[in-house]
Amino acid sequence: MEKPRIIILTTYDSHYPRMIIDGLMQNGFVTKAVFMGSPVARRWFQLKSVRSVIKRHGYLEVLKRLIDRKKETAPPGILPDLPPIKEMSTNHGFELKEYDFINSGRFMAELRSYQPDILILAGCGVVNAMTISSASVGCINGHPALLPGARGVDVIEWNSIKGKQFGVTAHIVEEKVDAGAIVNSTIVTPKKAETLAGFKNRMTVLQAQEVVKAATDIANGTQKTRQNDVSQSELYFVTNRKERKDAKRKFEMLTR
Amino acid sequence: MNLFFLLDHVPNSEIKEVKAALYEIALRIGLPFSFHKSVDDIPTDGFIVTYGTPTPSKFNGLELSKVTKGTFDSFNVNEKRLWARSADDNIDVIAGSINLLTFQHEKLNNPERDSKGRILPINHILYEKELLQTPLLENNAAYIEELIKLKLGRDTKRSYPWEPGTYVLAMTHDVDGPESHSRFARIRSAFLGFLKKNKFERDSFFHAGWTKKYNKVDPYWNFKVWMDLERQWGIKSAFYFYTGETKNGKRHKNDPHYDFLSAEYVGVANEINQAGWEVGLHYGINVDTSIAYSEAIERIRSKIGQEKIGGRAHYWSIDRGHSPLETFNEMNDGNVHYDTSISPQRLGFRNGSMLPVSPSLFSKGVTAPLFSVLPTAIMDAYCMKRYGLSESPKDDALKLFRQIKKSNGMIILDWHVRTAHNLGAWQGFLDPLHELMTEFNNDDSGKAMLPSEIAESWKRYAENLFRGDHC
Repeated sequence: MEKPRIIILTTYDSHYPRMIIDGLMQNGFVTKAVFMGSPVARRWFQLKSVRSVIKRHGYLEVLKRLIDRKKETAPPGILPDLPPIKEMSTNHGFELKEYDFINSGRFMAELRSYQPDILILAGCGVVNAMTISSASVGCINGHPALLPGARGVDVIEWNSIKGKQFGVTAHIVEEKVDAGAIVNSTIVTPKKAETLAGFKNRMTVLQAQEVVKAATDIANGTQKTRQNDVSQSELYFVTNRKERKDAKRKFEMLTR
Repeated sequence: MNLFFLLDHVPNSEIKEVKAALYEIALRIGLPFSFHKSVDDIPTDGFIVTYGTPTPSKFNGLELSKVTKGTFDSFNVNEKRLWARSADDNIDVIAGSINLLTFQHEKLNNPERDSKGRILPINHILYEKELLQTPLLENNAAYIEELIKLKLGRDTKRSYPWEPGTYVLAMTHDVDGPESHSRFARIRSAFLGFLKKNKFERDSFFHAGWTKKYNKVDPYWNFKVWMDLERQWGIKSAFYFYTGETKNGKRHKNDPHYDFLSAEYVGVANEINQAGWEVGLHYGINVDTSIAYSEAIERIRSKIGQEKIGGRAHYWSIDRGHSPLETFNEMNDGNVHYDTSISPQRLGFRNGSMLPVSPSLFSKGVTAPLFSVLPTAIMDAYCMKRYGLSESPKDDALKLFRQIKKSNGMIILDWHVRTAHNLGAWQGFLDPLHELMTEFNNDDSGKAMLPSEIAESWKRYAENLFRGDHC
C-alpha cells in the first residue's frame, strides 16, 4: 500500500499518540488525521474511568487512586520529548480533528468520511463495531501485556502481582476487549533497580513502537498475524490501592 | 396475461371490500387485472377468477373458495402461513385478506388498549400467534398465484413493483426531541437519571451539560449527521417534523416539545429539502381529522414549499377515536401524500403486509386515486435488547431484513433523529442499523428510495396493472 490513509484516535494529547505519529513518520507514513478528544470527550472519559473504579472498589478508592497517581513519579528521560500534537499537525501536514463523543454518529460520520485504511487506537477507550469497520484494512490497538494472557486494564500491575511475564502487544481490534488477532508482540524484562513507575513509562514507549511496527507491516502487507486465543487469557479489571501496593512490592523484589 | 375477476355473485354489501382485497392481491401477483359483473365483458380466451362461484363453462379459470361463516386463523399451505377464514375443509384467503387489510383481525382476541387506543404489543393477535414477522398478505397472494400457475400449467409473465430481483429500502427519522440542551430535555434526563435511576438518561444529562458548557453542538441535533451517514450508505431519507398545535389539532401532552416555526427548525427543514432529502410530517397524537392533517401539512408547505407531504403518526397513534382505516381515510381527505404509521410496536407487520397497502380502496373504491400506506417493519427501539422485547432483537431485525430482502419486498426503517448520538439514552442505537446497512450494501439487490418515491412508484405500478372496474 503506497499511501495508506492512517487515522489515529486519542482522547488526550499524551506521549503515547505523539510517539506513534512520530514513529510512523520515521517509517515513511504520514498520518492522514488525528482525532483527539475535546474537553467534553475528556470529561466523559474521566467519568467512565471513575465509574469503573466505583463499580469495583467503591467511592473511596477513587480518591485513593487520585492521591496515588500524584505520588507516582517516574524518572525523567524515559519518554521522548516530542511536541504537542497540534504542533506536529502543523509541521507534518496532517489534519487534527476534535471529537466530543467517540462512537457517536457525529464522530463516525466524520471518521468514515476519511475512508481510513488503517485506524490506530491510541488511548481512546472502547470503540464499537461501526468505528472498527470504518478501516478498510484494519484497526490496531496496543496493549501493555502479552496476548493472549492478561486482557483488560492495569495489566502491568496484575502481571506483577501474578508473577507473569511482561510484554507489549499490537493486535487487530475486535468488538471484544483485547481479543483480536495478534500482529506482533515483544517480551519486556524489567531492568535492575527499575521502579514500577519508570517501567510503565518504558512500556509506553515500547507499546508505541509495537503499534508503529504493526501499522507499518500492515501497510506493507508483510504482517504475520496469529490467533489470539482468549480462552488462554484472563480479563483483569481496575486495581485497588492494596493491589497496587502489592504489585509495586513484588516488582521491586524482582528488580532488586 | 390478464386476470378477469368475475364477481357476479358477490353481494352488493360486500363488493367494495372484496374488490379492494382482490386489488391488493392482484398487485402482489403482478398481473394486469379488471373487475367484472358479467361474463359478457370478458373475452373468451381470458383467464377468469371467480370468488365463491364456479367458473363459467368454456372459460379457463380459477375458483376461489368463499367461506361465509367460519373462523379466521393462520393455515400452513406449502410451507407458507396464510391468513384465511375457514369452515370444514375450505379456506377463504380473500376473506382473510379483507380481515387483515381492515384491521378486523385485531378485534378477534379482544385485546387490551392503552389511553391512545393502541393495542398493547403483547396482546396483538399476530404476536400471540407468532406471526408478526410473517408477510401473511403476500403469502395469501402467493398462494393464489400458485393456483393460477397450476391451472395454466405454466409460469406467468408477471410484473414487479420495482425491478425484478430487487427490494426497496427507505429510511425515515421521526423528529421527536432533537435537543438535549432544551430545559425540558435536561429536566427530563435529570428526573429519569437521578430520581428514577436510569443510568442512560443520567449520561444524557451529563452530555447535555458538558456540551452546553463548552459551546458544542447539541448531541441530539443530528440532522446533518444522518445525512452524512446516509451519503456513505448511498441512501437518502425522510425527516418527519411535528409542526405544533393548530386550530383543529390540539397539542397532546406527549407531543414533541419544540417549535417547528422557529428559524432554527425552518432552516434545517429547508436544508434537508434543498439537499434532496425529504421533509414530512410527524402528526401530533390528537391530529386525526382531515382538517387537522391539512393544517399541519400547510405549516410545512408554507415554510419549505415542498408540495407532496407524507408522514407518520407520533406514538403510532392511528387508533385514537377511529379505526386505523378511518384514520387513513381522514389522512387521504387531508391531502397527506402517503403514510408510514402501520407498526405492531415491535419488529414486523401489524396487518400482515410487507408491501404498501392502499386503505383508500376500501373507502373510496378501486377507481379513486390511491392513498398508500407503507408499513414500518423496523424501528430503532425494537432492535434494542434493553427494552426486553426479545432475547436477541438485533438478530431478529437482521433476520426480518433478510426475509424482506429475499422476498423482493419493502423495508421502511425508522431511526429517531436523536438516536444518532448513540450514547446516553440512545446508547448502542446505531449498532443494529450498522448491521442492517452493511447487509444492504453487501450486494446490489437493494434499491434505496425516499418513502414518497416508493408511494409514487407503487401508485404507478398499480395504475399500470389495473385495467378497469366493470362491476
